Amino acid sequence: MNAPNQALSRDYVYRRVAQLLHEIVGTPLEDINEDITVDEDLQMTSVIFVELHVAIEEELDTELDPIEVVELNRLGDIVDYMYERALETRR
Amino acid sequence: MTLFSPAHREFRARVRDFVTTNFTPHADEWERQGTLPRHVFTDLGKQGWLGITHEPKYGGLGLDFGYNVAFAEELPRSKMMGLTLSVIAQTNIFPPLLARLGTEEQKQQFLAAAIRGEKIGGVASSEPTGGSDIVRSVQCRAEEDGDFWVVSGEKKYITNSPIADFLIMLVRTRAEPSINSLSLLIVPTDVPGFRVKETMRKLGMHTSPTGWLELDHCRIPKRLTLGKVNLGYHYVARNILEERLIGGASAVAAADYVLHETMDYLRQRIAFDQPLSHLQAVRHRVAELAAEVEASRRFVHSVCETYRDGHVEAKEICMIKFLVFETVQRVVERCLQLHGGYGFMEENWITRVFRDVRVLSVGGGPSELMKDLVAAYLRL
Repeated sequence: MNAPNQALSRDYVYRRVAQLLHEIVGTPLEDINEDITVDEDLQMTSVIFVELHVAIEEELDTELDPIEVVELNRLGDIVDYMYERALETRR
Repeated sequence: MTLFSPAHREFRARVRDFVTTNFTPHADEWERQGTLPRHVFTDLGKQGWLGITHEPKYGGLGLDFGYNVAFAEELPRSKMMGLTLSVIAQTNIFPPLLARLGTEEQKQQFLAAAIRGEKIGGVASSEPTGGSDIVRSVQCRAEEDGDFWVVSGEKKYITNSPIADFLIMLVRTRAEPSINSLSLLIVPTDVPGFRVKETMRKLGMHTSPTGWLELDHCRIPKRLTLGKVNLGYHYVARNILEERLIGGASAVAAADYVLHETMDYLRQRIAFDQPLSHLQAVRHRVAELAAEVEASRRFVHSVCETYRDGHVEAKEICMIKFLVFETVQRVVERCLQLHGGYGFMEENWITRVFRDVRVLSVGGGPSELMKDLVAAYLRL
């Protein structure tokens, strides 16, 4: 679940997203880095994708457009987008 | 703001009058023949009802989603659930994709023509290899060749495809079974290499044509790519929510119509020296069914209200897809039972509806997939 008292930082978003990728998609933590892509490295079913999307929204307490997320493709860029969205929600 | 204002109710009355005057008298004939005349689409197009929520510059009426719901709820008055499905396919299955993603040229060529009822369209996602696990099951592939895509493969169980002028087709543009490996192409059905392999025979929905399609090196201009390449799955996943929601509204309206026709029958049918409607067991059963219909309607309408206001409640729409649709099936089955032997006769409309609604928990994502998705939304 989300941690409302946790100070929001880009590093925090990255670590939470990496952990969820590991838990939900099954990607080994050691394989996760800023440069992996949805296209090449993160293969998942539609149901797993929904679960991941909902989990990240809950963790960051913000709404994310799944199409904008996957369009970015590279994990580092996706984390940047999520961090910006989470900051906007808190403003 | 509630879903329906006095203006919506006036609109609903006009649709009901049109449907019962122009379509219902043909129900027995069209059902027996298993046909859906093309003029159904042009007739509705002339009223502007195939583009209720769309922009006027494409021939739409520019009205809110509540009008769309009212329209969908009146179609079962045709006493043809197949016609209802095929018309909803023309209003809520592919047009939102064109409106949201289409270029101006695509909108003029396909959306405007569909709203006029001059071109019939559809969405082709499922294949002989499956439909629910769509990311992995799509094998119909499109390969680049200059300014063209070369498309080969099969599509199956595609609503309206035997009479369609074009289909928005989900095709594989990357070999990997990634969620970013499918794209949408607009495929005109007169392109060389396209053929309807079979118009499929079904348990019900006989006034809604369903096709099995084959594409053999069809050359599709790249200008007919809809949206961005490789994002097709996500476009379809979002779009299908509207289809399920409007389908839910229409299905509940059908159940309500069946229930009221059943009540009329129960008031007239005499047994044990009294109308069946006087028997306590019958009265209690009807009360239960009415409560189920009302609960379903209020659930669907509440989600329609938020949808009208721009918020898509995906989890609740998946709930509607199994909970409400299975309720509709149960209501229709019990109404058939209340008709006794007459409920089993082909001359009775309820026999057809009983067959038709069976598809509700199968088509457009089966109940089992919907429950998986709801569990995912719940992070179970």
